[in-house]
Amino acid sequence: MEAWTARHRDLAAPAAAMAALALAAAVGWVLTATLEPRAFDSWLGVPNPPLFLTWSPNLELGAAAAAVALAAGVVSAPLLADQRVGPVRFAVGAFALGLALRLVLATARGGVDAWTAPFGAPLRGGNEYLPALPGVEGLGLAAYLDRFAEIMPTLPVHPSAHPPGTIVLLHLLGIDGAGGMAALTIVSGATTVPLTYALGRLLLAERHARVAALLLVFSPAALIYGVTSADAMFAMLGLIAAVALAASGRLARPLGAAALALASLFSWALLAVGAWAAALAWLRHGPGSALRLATWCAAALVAVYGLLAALTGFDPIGALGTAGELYRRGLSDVRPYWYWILGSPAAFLISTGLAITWFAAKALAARQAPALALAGIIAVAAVLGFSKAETERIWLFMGPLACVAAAPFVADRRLRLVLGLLAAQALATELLFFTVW
Amino acid sequence: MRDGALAAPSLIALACLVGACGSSDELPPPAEPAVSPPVSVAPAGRVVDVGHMPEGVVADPATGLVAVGLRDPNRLALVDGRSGEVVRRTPLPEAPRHLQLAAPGGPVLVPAEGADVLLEVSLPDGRIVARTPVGAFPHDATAVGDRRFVADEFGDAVSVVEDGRAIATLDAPVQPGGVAALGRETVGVVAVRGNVLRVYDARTLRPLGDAGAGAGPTHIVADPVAERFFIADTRGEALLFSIAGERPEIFDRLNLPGPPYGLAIDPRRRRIWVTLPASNELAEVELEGNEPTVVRTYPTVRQPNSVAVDPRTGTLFVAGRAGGELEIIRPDP
Repeated sequence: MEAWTARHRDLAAPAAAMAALALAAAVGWVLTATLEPRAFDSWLGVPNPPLFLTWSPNLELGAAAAAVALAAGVVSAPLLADQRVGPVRFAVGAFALGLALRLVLATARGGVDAWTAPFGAPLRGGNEYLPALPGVEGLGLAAYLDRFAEIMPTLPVHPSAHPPGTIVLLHLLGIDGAGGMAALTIVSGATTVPLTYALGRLLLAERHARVAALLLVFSPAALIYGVTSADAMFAMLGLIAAVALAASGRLARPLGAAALALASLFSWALLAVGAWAAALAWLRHGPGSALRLATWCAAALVAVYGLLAALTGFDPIGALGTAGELYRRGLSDVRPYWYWILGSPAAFLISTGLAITWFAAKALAARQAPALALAGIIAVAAVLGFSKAETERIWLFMGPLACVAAAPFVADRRLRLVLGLLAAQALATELLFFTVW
Repeated sequence: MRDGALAAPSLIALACLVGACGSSDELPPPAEPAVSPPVSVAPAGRVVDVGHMPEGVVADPATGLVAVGLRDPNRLALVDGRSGEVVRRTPLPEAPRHLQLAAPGGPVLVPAEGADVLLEVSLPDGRIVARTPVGAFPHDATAVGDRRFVADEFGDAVSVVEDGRAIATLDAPVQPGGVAALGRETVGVVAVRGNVLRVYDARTLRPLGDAGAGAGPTHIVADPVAERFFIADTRGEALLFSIAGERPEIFDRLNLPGPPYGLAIDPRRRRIWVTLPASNELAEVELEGNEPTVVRTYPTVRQPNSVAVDPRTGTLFVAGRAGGELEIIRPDP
């Protein structure tokens, strides 16, 4: 009887999480079916609430190749996690597997052109970063940054809602075409796999760190948006900061704080990584540790933004204000806050992977520090309403944190099954839906 | 001291110190049209010689005449829009770069830049019927009823002309270039150095507000149907869409690698025509639907800085500055 009760207690949290996701989907379906559409054929402002994807079944030859590759990956990945494989070889192998699988899965819809399509057409990727480059090339970097807050409303959708880091990076690297942008996105996105391993090693046992990395390899959001969205690069930057902030060396925190400040020049959402690290420090080492970490982060932010302002005239507060105003008068306006308090986390958790969510919920119920810290930043982000919908992309950087939270609860004997479920979800999503980015 | 508790506040202090300096007051120079390569594809339609360095063109639906600004010697050529024949050349004190009609049937508003005057040339006879001193270097002019609004590019002002005299001078952002009237209510001015759109109430002459206009705007046209302005952000390589009214704002853009320069709007056919000098092309932008799109491009003469459309026939006139040509295109339906 006790065993039966314990088992049910063990299932209560994941079952509740699944019920919450189902509730978000059901409410979204009912409202979409019954109310006048306001944007993207839905009253809630996304095509299939809570997810920003469109029903568009597409079975091409590439689908079979993707299925075979994913199946092979599921079979072989647990072998990679074997302790006899050294840490460096595991990291390299997991990176290669993650890179290969996201490239192959993308070809299931549109062939190899799918690697560059999000950044290339029409007219150099309508909403993406490349069309913003002529401005910086014409004005020069300093003048562009000086006037960035005023220029933002005239930029394509994605750069208009972000700080200028990506545009500056593309300019400095000389990337001005879809091929270069795709390479940057895909390769940097795939580095989140070994970085997740590195983060896991700081917080978990070696075995669980490897499981965390493999969960990310097969996470649907990482596989799909890791090819199509610059947010994959943001995830890498956020994770670098997370690793350094979670580390214990003397220089780790200052370096992590600097990394966080630099990462926030690419996406303001990455500041949540600092909050996650502070929460983690609090839970693991007490409030003093969290306060010191927060001080470092604040100092680094002020220093980096102050220096940038001094050198170029960049106005971070004006830019943030403009982004907020643009967001409010854009699609956010038609997306009801009350729904997206639940809908935003639901979109993130579904796309990260139902299996990962299941085990992360278990970790949360067990009051594990990584899970509690992640739940905290998700709750705050949802309540603040900075990202109403599209969190499968915008919160992509939280995916690795979810994998780290979930990993200790994935039993060895079930690893292959879990990875298989994630792979199946990713493949089904790719083949049945058009995923926009 | 753990975690360098002093280091963090020191960093903050340092940043505050260096953060005290900052933005440069030096504005970037105005965007210029791309230098066209030699023509590699035969221009669409018919090409006629019109005179030296044509820039600034407007088509009159009432007379069928097309006015074209010429330089060295400074002239206003009047061209028969059907035959392409130059029917008259009016000597000017200075060459214009933008032309607009005060109304169908004329007169043509000719901002004579170096002469600091706004000329009005009647149609079809090509006589100068008004010569009004305005501010420094008038670059563009538009009409709202009997009022003319003149962008004084080097005066950082807008001159308001009525009954042959300047009745007001309005403050404008740095180097106002293009100017367009939206109905009888509002006038939009795009500052080519300040990179700002300023909208004025055409009746009270009160400025209604400013909006950033990209990285290097050059031209502006008004769409009376959708009640918005369209701006060529030449340096930013985009066509910007602006809401006019009490609080102007840019609300969308169309990427136009090229970059865009001259603009003409055909409200009836829901089209905007955009010259792309870098590729010697003219882009046809369809305005129907939620997202304006480029539906096709036409090859043009070299250095197509200016375009006009006859709203009655839909015929297009592209001035090729490099070769002294006027290209006449009857676009595909």
